Amino acid sequence: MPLKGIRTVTAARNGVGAFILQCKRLDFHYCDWAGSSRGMVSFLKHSLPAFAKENPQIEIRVSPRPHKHPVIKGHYINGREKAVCVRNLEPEQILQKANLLKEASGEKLKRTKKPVTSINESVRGIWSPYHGDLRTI
Amino acid sequence: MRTSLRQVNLDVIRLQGSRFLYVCSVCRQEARPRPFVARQFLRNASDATPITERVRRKLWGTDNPPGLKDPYGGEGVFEKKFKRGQSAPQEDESAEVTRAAGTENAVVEDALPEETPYEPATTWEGLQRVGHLGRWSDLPPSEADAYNSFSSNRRLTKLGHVSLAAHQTAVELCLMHLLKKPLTSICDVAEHEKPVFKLIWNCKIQPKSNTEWDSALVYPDKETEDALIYIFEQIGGAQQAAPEANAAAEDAEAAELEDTQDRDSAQEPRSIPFFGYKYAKDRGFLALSLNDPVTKFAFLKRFSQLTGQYFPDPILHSISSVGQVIDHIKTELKPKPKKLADHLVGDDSLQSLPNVKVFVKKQKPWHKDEELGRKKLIDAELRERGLVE
Amino acid sequence: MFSRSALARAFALPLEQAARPSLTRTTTFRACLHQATTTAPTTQAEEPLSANRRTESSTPDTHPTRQTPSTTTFRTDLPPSKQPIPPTFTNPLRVSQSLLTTLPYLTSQKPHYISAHLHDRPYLLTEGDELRLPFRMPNVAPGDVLRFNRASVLGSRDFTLKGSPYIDERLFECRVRVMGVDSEPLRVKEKTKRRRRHVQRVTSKHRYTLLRVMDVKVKTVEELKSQGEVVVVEDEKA
Repeated sequence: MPLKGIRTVTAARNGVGAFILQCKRLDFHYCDWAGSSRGMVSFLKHSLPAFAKENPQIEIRVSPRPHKHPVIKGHYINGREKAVCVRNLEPEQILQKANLLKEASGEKLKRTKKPVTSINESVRGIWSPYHGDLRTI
Repeated sequence: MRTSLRQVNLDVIRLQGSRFLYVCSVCRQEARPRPFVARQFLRNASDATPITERVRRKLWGTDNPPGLKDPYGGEGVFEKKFKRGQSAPQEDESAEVTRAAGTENAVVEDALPEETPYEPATTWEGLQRVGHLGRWSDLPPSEADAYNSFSSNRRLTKLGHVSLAAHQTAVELCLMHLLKKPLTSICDVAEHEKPVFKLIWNCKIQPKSNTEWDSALVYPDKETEDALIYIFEQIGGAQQAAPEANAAAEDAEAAELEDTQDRDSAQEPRSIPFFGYKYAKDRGFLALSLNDPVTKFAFLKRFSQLTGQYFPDPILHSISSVGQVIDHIKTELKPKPKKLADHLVGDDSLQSLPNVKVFVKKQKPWHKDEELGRKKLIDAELRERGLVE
Repeated sequence: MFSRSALARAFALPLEQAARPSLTRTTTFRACLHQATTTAPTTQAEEPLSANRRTESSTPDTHPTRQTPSTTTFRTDLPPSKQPIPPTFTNPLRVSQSLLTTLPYLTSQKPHYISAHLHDRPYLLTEGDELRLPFRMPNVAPGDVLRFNRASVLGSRDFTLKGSPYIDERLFECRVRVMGVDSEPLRVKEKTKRRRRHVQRVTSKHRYTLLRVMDVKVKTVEELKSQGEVVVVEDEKA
């Protein structure tokens, strides 16, 4: 049996045991006056109750933001936030955007080539020429 | 040039002696009267005829050409003016002197008897109005310009008051129906006296069928009935008597009286509409129908007079009972919340959810500080450093 | 959400008994537990896509139950559309004697790795890994639990169980949790033609499903026996 390093204490990894949605809060900002907020206002009036009921784990805040375009802001448990401008969008499109923010991980967008990222150490260990039996050919 | 001029001047001074005080050369040059003489015409001073005249004679071929004498030459404009200026002041002075003497005499004559010191006016008030520019706005106000609104100036906004007005209108119209009087004549009385109003308030309306207005009224007792009928007889009677009297002066007086009364009565309810009554006692009047156009018109006229509420045409058309009138007023008095925040706050389905928070005001960075609990710290630190009061 | 993890344990595989031999070869050193080729046809004819992964919660109707779902209990805390689907196997698992003897070595040595296949792509996973699929999986929501049921290799530090080509899904459990949907930065591809002063810019922004491996577990012999009364068949050849 080869030597083993000191085991690291397992890091808390969301989803392995318990699962918490990455998005913790959604802020909806609108403007009462501007026409670009029309879809947003309609969304807040009609679709928001259903959306909030579907996602009880997300805190939803609605606040006016006068003289600006409507914005949805997502706050994530990793401390980052994502904002999507929803000017001149229809309520259905805004719902799509809200779902997008809800499902997003909150990480900065990156292009990765490898599908698997692991913090575990290698299961089979690092290959060493000095260990293991010699094979006779 | 200069030196020579100065020498010349000095020479002149020396010649003329000490009679002249010293005047600088420039000023002397400037002050010297300049002869406005057209040099060109003096060119041939020895010749009697100038060149233009000679050309003219040559053109015409005679020594006496037709037309004006000396059309091209003569004195120029400035020359003429200068000449006139020299001669005119003397005339003006003499004329002014005579005129001044005349006016002074007149003024003295006018002023003597009054002996009031002249005070210049500081405002336009009290001054005589002289003339206008021919527009209507410049004309002084006439009697016709004064406007007294038909309906009461105050819009009743409380539902109790509106129902009181509707009840009063219904009772009045029932009485007018009963007495077979023209229905709209009730509008001549803008406001009842308090005892009369109390009588009306005590009456109930129980419509037996939808169309009956005459028999719908229920009096609390016989006295009330008699009193009300007596009063309303008078209302109709006054209106009928007026054309019979046919005296213009009396009419005018009556109108004035009514006007003053109206004004008084209009001012009174401003403090307490309907003498402090809050609600109509019974609800029977709501079922009265307004299908009869005459009744409907009379009702709405009287009602809008009492309440100051306006009925748009489409609503007017669709109204068919007193209840609908009240309903319309209800919708009018309860406008939809305009702001989205108000709408969301009023939305029960949203308010019942624990994870939704609606803010009426814009959220600012210090809201975040407050939420995270660091606002007090920041505030205290700022105070300590003297950066904030 | 806690209940979802408990789901993994509640998910019981109804296996029924049937006796068939299977070919297993074991080597002592660097133990490779090759699952016999004969096991492959015994499992139900696998559909190319949907059988690859069995979503316990989101795709309920892909597998009509052929057998009675006797052992799966009805979960009252889940809506009907999210009820776990009982596995449908017509034939019981057949395990050779040699596999049975060597399986405890693999089971007892932790941690395990698995080479799970999804859409015929292998992903080498251990417990707690994050997996970003190269596509966006439809009909899944964050929090859903999926079970990978196709694996080619399953192993620990010293032992490896190889499938030929795949390991029978009743031998292991690999569950992943859907974490959400990720996106990549906007790609701009510039397209040009010759002698034309015009550049066409084509943009694309793909979305990917994020998964987290909840557990990788090899079943013990006792588990196999208690679940489905595994028939132990002597290898005819070996």
